[in-house]
Amino acid sequence: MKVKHRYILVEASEELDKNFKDNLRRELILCIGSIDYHLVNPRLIGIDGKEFIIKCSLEGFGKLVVALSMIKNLNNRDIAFYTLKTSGTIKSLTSSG
Amino acid sequence: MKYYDILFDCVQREKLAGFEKIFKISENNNKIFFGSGDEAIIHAIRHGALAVAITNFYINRKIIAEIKEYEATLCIPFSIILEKKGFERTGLLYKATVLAKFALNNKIELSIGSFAHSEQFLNSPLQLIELSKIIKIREEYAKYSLSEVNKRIGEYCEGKT
Repeated sequence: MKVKHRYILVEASEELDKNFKDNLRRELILCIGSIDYHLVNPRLIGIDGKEFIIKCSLEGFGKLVVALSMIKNLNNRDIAFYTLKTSGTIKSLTSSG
Repeated sequence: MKYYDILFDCVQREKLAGFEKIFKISENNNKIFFGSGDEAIIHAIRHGALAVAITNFYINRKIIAEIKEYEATLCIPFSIILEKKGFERTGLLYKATVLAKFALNNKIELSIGSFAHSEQFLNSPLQLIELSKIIKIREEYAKYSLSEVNKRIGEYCEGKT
């Protein structure tokens, strides 16, 4: 049975550095918890400047959005994440309008 | 559906994707009470405050009675919760859940918003709706609160109503 996913377009308040992926994963495990992390199954798809797309399971979508709201510090740097759009496909997420 | 947020005017940001408009309020305004303490809350409501944001998330029957009598709105400032970490944050989430349940059971209108003092504690509409679901507010009510209720409060603060 196919597992349904959600793609989320997120804007960060600061430029993202090369260690962003590992730092984000560490903070997400702290927020979501090691028990639910596998249910949410977040995967960074792509980064473009301050924006990035993250993929997660449909059932863990709400937890991931809340976790992104709660992360305010990454690698000793103040940061904020704003979840802008969500969609079932990357194409509709990145299309304008 | 058009969403509105309420922030303090020390936040520079004017727009965030997803919001139709972001209303800015000053620290010393008398239209939205932002603080804690029974006497201060009751005083604010009796002197024209349309909305009350209780920063320690503590509410009792006396405050509920005043809010109902003056038809004020109870605001849930999520920036207060997000500024904390660890057990403090968990404790505030629990208190906010109790506050929301108590208010809705007593048929008091709820407003959900960032009420942020800095850009770091701003949230998108999607985040505010999901945070509301964490404190057991239904998604439909959260959307209504973010749109109709916040618009009314924001326009009252701007003097348009």
